[in-house]
Amino acid sequence: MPGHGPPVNEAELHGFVDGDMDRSRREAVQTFLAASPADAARIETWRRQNETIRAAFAPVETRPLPWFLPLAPGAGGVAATGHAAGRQAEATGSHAWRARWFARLIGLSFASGALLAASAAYLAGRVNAPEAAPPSTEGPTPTGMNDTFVTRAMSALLAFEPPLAAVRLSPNREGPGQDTEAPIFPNLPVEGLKLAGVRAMPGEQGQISCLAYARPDEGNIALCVEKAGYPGETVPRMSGNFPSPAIHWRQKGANYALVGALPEARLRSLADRVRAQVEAFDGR
Amino acid sequence: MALRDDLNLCAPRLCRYARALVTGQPGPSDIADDLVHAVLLRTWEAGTALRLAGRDLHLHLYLYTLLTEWHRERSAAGRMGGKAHLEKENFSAGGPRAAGALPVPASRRDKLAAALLALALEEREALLLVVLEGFSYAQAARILKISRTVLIMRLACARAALSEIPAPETPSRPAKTRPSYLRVVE
Repeated sequence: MPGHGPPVNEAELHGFVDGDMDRSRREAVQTFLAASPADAARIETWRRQNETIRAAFAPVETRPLPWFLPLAPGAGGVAATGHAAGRQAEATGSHAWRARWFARLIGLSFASGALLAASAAYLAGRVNAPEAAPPSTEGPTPTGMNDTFVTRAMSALLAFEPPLAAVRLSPNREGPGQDTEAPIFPNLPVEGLKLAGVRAMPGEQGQISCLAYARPDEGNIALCVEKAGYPGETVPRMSGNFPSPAIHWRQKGANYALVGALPEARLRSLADRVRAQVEAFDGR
Repeated sequence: MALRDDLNLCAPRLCRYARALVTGQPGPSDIADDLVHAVLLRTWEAGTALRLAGRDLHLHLYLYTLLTEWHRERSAAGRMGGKAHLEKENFSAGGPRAAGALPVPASRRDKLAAALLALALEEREALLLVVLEGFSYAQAARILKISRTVLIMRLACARAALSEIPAPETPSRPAKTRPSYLRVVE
């Protein structure tokens, strides 16, 4: 091998291609390659490989990400969601009073959510659901979310057409459905929504509880929850198409589905707020 | 705040690495995206509790280490292989999520994905960290918790196995798409 210093080895050839090499050895490698066409051809092949791989995956960096991160500042104890690609929702303001007010609002929502969850559990033992959709013949989705759950969430929404009278939320706690590990059931924090009823139906993971909300001059929205059969959490994903889309995800040991005749953006936004409530509830 | 911003900045690159690692494709992947989401959330929670950002930890390395380890665990548990394969098939078949997502022709994309997935997992990890993510050998070795020598050996094996992947697009390609209605009239 011509030149000075120790001979060029295989590791240095890789370092030469990847730019991981001392300047002092770069000249030696260049001299070596000039005298060895076969190795120079190998180097060129590796370079082409690098370019191919980088070019193939370049679009990923510029596309919006499909998930939402609850990465709002934690000073006020409020977790908010936002789009990782830039539309981070600043749910809390810089003023302390605003944070406190928002925290109280969330707390109130949790209280009502807990009451509704208890009510749903109570109803589970008494209400049958003959209209429930038949179980899907498909298996669980790749993330473990049960398709039947989403299907039944959609059927639950249909069952509320026309809107039912609101179910009286009984404070009686002697019902058979009481469960200390009931999934968190947040309140939909949207103006103009009115609770139309609560429905419980059997699901593959146990009981599915649904809250139906009526909107003035528009279709209903249903938020359904069941205990998850799989661990971990998933990102919100859309199922179905307008006018009967659903968005579903797994969070804090429960499967959630939000169904209603809303555009995807609004449904996702609503799902984000529900997720934020569930997330914040667990942190308290 | 700083940690949140850092995580959001890291997210696209982490997503790119996860998709390449899991499916060999740049298109959406439930498994890969869930993996990234879980890693970001875990880091966010850990960062909030331990003031991760304030301790000047190497966030990038931490994220990639966590993602690589979790992917290995899932692969070892036997959950990933089948699902990734299914996703790949769905993607190749032109499923609804894949439609119109990529400008690269299916054949070239599939060949590259097949070549990447054919690599041993540890070789794929090493190759993607260095080539795709641009980590130095020292950083990649630290993420994979191996020595620099072992890293280079894995790189060499991966490159030898990848010798037949298709070349990237060249500028001369538009010439092939000449309008068909132009004809030479004699």
